[in-house]
Order: sequence, then structure tokens, then C-alpha cells
Amino acid sequence: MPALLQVEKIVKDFGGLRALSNVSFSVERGETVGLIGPNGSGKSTLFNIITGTFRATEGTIRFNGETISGLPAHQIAKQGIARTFQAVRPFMHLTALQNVLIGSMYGSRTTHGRDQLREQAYAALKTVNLAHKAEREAQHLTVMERKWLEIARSLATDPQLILLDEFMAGLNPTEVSEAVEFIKRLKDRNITVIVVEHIMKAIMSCSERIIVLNAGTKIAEGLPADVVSNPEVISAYLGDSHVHH
Amino acid sequence: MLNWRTGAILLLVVALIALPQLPFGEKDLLTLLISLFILAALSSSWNILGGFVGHINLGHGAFFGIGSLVTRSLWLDQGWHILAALAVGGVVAAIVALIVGAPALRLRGTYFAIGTLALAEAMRLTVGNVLPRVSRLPGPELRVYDIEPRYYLALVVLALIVGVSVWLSRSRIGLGMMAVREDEEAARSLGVNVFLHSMLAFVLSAFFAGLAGGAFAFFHVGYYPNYTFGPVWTFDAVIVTYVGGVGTVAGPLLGAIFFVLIRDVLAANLVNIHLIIFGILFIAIVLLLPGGFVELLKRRGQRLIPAGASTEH
Repeated sequence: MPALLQVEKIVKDFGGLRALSNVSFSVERGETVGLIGPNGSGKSTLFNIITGTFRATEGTIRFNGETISGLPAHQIAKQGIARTFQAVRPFMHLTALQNVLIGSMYGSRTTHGRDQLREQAYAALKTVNLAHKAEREAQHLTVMERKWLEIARSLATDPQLILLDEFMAGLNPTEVSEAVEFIKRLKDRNITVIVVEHIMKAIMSCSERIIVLNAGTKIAEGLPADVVSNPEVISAYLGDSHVHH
Repeated sequence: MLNWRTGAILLLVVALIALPQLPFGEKDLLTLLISLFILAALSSSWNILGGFVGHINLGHGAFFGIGSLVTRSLWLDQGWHILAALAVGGVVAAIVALIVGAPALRLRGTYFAIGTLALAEAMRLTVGNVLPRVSRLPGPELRVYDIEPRYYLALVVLALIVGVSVWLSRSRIGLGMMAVREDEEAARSLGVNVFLHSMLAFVLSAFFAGLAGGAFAFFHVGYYPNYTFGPVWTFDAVIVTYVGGVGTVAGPLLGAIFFVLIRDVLAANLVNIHLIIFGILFIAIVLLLPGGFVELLKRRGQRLIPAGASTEH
């Protein structure tokens, strides 16, 4: 069986700027992979290419062995890839329940009964502790609640793979550890996760494997402990003077 | 379950159906109500694309015009039954939307608004040049003119568009449309086909505008063919929808009632002053009460009902 996600030699140019050059990696079913790198290293661009928001200049992306690069974003979503956005983007004038319902109605779920969909939407809200605010419009939720709502909404599509884009930015330490626990629990639901995050401690504790991007190139890949001690990674993050040979 | 709200709506519908048979159901009242029904239907049809999907169509009058032109030609010149003529009028408007929509819906925001406005003006000028006069004086039809069938036709057209709006506001496809309005990229990331939902709304919106135009043709009978293509039909619909509550089913209806009442009460005394009133009101609503009258009612309702009591599970 091929890996769940295969990213093969992806190149992305924005005009004269090469945002990604020859990035390849694969993600196995059930894995939780961390994607790290300094600002502007191409993490979000990579997410946007996997989900079909951007088209890759070169290279192929396969999901379950089938090529998905070139498909429109909504079709990629239906194949079972969900995402959250770096700047939280719930549907502000819709209720929390409606937000999640859209996920379950349009996602890759096969069930279509109206009551069943509603139940699933409620269940999704429950997993992020928002069931009591189901009828509240997203614009009246706190920033934290909106973040969780966005997660619930993407989980409601019943994804095989979820891409979390800097979910933990702006969270306090307690909230970060809650988020880490939540991500770990996704594994029990057979959901494969790719996390972009800047909080090193968090990403180290929830990822089984880490991929490091720098200036659009993959510079390291491996177990968290190995990656943090990799001299190239340290130099990318802290500058060359910090590397002791 | 029959709560007070459904009861009130049912009562209103029965009253509207019975009205022409009642002693006070006179011609003036029926005429006023026909204008109201047509404006409410036109505004509701604009609301499908503008309110649910959030694409501001400033060329909506063109579909009203197409509907009226096709309906009147088939009914008066070809001698078709009005219902058949009306249906074809709506379908032709929908087909035009399908053709225009493919390029126009690639535009976003202001560009879509300006593009549709330009298209409607081009259509109005073309119709005005090709058909410069009232196509023919409908003498025989005017001699036997009966207000009642006009009243019922306008009522049925309004009922249809309201029914479809209610269905949309509760259905999967309607939710998908609202997701497009809120955030296209987020909608796509959940599997919503943004173009398809926009197109469907555009075609439905044009179809019902066409029906409203057909009802107008049946009601008014004699007018210049390019009159119904005028931008005033678009802007009346936009103002009515925003004043009443954009993106809601009840909004265009409330707005139309208010608009027609103010227009007819004031126009009798002060010619066209209602336009100034509505211009100011429109600006005030957009700035201070973006949800329109419906928002106002909701706020009042929330004050009367303690928080949480209004939600049903």
C-alpha cells in the first residue's frame, strides 16, 4: 500500500520568487508529522498546494496513491483532506452548529440523513466543548472558541488527513497542552495529522516525525530528538554562529 | 407543530387569497398590493444571489426586463396562455443568466457589481433601439382588463419565490451558498464548489426576476419595452432588500411593504420625495443596522425572551 500522502519534487514560483524548490516527503497513515521552519520558509505555501488553493509549478502530490495535484480545492477536500487556517476563519455570521454542519454536509462523509448529520455536527462540537454554544453565531465567540470551532468544522468533513496551520499561536501554556492532548487523541480516530507550529516544545511532544523547511527547501527530516540536534536546523533557526563543530 | 408564527402566516395567506372577494377588496387596494407583490418578488429574487451568496448583482433589472419582454410578446403577440408565456419568460431569463454567469461569476466584489451593471445597461439600450415603440396598443386586452387574475398571478409568483427562499435557508445547498458568502476559501476547504453554488443562485435569481417581470407585463400591459430593463428595478430591489434585511427570507418582504407604503403615501403629496427618504434610509441602515428591519426585530425579540429560551433542539 502506498503512503497516504506523497509529496514529490514540488516546486512553487511566485513570479521570480521560488517559494518551494524540490520538496519531497511522504506521510504514512496514522502518523502525526510536524512541519517546522523559520518564517517564510514555505510551510503555508506547501499547505496551500496540498489543499489545492495554489497550483504547484512543478511536481506531483498523491493521496492514497492517486494524483490530486491540479484538482480544485473542493474536490481535494472531498477526497478526505481537511485544513485549518493560520488566521482563524470561521463563517462569522453563521451559528457554530451551521459552521460544523457545512463541514459534515459537504465533506467526504457518506451518511446523508438529516438527523444523522445534525447529530454528527453536535458530536463534533462536543469534542471541542462547544455544544452549549451551538446556536451562537461565530462572530460572538471568543478567539479561542473560534479556533476550536474551525477544528470541529474541518473534523466534521471526516478527513483522513488534517493540516493544522499554527493552531497554537497565541495560546497560553495550559491551552497549548490541551491542544497537544487533542492532537494526540486524533491518532485514536485514525486521522493523520500534519502540524505547522512555532512552539517547539509543543511540536516536539505531539509529532512522531518532523520535517524542516528552510527557504523553500527541505533541510532535515526525522525523529524530533534527532532533528533538534541537527546542526543545519540549528543554524537555520539561530544563525551559523550558534553551531559548534 | 403550529406555533403563533406559523398561525399568523397562514392567516395572512388566507386573507390575501380571499381579499378580492371581500367588499373592501377594491381595485385601488388590489393595484397597490400587486405593486407590492411584484416588488417583493423582485427583491426576494435579488436576495438569492446578493443575500445568500453575497454577490452584488447591479444588473438584476435586465432579468426582470427579459421576463417581461418575453412574457408580453408570447402572451399578446403570439396569443399564448399567460401562464405558459410567464414560464417561458422565466426560463429565458434563467438561460441568459447561465450564459452571462460563466464569465461574470469569475469576477469578484465590486468588479462583479460593475460588470453586471454594464451588461444590463447594454441590454436596456439595445432593447430601446431595436424596439423603440410600444410594440402594439393592446386595445382588446385593455377593454376586458380584469384586475383579479393579475392579483392572483403576482401573489403566486411571490409565493413561489418565498417558498424557494425558505427552502434554501434550510437546505444543504443554501448553507453551502452562505458559506460562499462568508468565506470562499474556507468554503472550498470543506468541499463546497464555489462556482457551482454561485451559478445556481444566479440562475434561480434570474428565473424569479423573470417571473416577476412577466407578472408586471400581465399587470401593466402597455409600456415601452425597455422600461422594464431600467436600472431603477435593480436599485429598488437592492434598497428594499437591505432596508428589510439582506440574506433573510423576511427581509425583502418587510422592506417591500415599507417601500410601497412610503412611496404611495408620499408620492400622492410630494412627487418622488420617497426616493430621497429611501436614499437616506439606505445609507443609515448600511452604516448603523447592517441586518435591516429583521435585525431590529431580532434584537427586540431577544430582549423579550430570556437568553437560551428561544433555541430549540
